[in-house]
Amino acid sequence: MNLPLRELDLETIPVEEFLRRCALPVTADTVEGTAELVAWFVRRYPTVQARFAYVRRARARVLR
Amino acid sequence: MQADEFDEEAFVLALSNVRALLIGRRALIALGLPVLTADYDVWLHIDDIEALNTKLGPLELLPNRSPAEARQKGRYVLENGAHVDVIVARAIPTVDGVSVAFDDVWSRRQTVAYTANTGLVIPSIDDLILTKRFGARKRDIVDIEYLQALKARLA
Repeated sequence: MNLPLRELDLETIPVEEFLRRCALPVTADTVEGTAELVAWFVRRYPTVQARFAYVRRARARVLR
Repeated sequence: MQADEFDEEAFVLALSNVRALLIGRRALIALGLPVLTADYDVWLHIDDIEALNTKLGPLELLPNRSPAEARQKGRYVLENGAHVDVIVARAIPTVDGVSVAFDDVWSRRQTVAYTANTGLVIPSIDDLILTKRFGARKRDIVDIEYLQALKARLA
């Protein structure tokens, strides 16, 4: 990972803000949307090994 | 060794022979959540450092600290091609003060199939959410929302 992207990944926010946002209820739309994403991902890449490989390729594309 | 030469399957096999939990975004991906990450995050039992390092020796994944130093600091890094952050603390507090103990998380672990023959051990969804509260990182808010949605869907 290049440095700016790593720093972005590690970016922190004030604890109070973090806790406030974590406490927000998950909406039905988010539950449904997440379920659809997971269903697609697991169907397309049935094993964890395949999913990890996909993520490696996707990340390489992002960094190019 | 280049990243694309990293023998991930041998790495996962080595993890399966010690008390090690894959945490972080890799665990989310294992559960089927399509998020991006470059690193591996492992929470290892403090007594299994030597055993894991020995098993990873052939992969040339080398520790940046001695086991004694790692125990003192609570973490170390394995690196060569891949980057593996290894936590060895017995317990870690969340940002709101909840102590999360390795032994408790280990007792509630789940195993997902890395391949048809190799299992990968990760925390329960509730415990993964707790590990995402170790730091107030912006991206963890998204991950926690994903995990809560997944948990709601499975309920």
